Amino acid sequence: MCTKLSPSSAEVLKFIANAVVILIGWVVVHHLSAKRDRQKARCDLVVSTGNDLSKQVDEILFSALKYHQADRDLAEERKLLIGLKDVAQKLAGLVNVCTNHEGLRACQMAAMRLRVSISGKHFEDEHLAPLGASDYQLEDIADAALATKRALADLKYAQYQEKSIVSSAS
Amino acid sequence: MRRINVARDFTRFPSGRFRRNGATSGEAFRQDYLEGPIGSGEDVVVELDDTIGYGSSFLEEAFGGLVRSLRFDAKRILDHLQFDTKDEGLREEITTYIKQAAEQLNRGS
Repeated sequence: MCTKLSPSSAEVLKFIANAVVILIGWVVVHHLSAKRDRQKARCDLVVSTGNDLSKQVDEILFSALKYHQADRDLAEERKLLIGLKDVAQKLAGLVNVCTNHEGLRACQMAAMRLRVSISGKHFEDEHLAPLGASDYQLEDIADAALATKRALADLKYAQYQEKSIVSSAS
Repeated sequence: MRRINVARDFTRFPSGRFRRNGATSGEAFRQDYLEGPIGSGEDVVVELDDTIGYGSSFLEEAFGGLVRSLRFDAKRILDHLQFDTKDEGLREEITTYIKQAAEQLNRGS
């Protein structure tokens, strides 16, 4: 059975249909906007953490070179261990935030290599006398610090690559 | 399965390689906490995260030293040893020391 709508009912239905379209449009736009905001906040957090870590690696490098070229200093040893652990913890904290897992893992491995270069030998009870300025271990520490900073920079810049933004937005 | 929390059961300040230089060394941790259970085939989980940090010499002596003292291959050690840590680098480093020590043991024997 087909009933003919009165002109006023048709107007009401048209109004409701328009309202539904507008509501759906608003929901979609809001959803996309919220997703973009979350993505931006995530990128900002990764970049600011990367910047902080890069400065921290510089401080660790400076302290490590000083430590190995001087007489054993227990306070400096502890400072180095805490600094290295802090770097590792901050990187671990990014696991749930950073979508670039490969880049993050590269940073973690570089930080591990930095720890090994500083504390693998001539550290704590094996620090018997200062190292000479041309000792290979000092070069190794500097090399590991630079590699860590490079991995952190790569992680930061990857946040702005079109591919990573598109893939995480989709 | 035995759980060993390094900070709670051993020290929050692990340092050094050899026992003669300190009771918080890697050698002391290995001898007092790892060799017994691993040597008798017990599964062990080592919780690593609550200390102030580890020097690599401590880690090498504690875990690489396990291969040298028990004369087990890397697989046998790793089958019984798990690590609870958020630091993937730490897990990787320890595993590397165990494998390297086993390779050195093989070359030497």
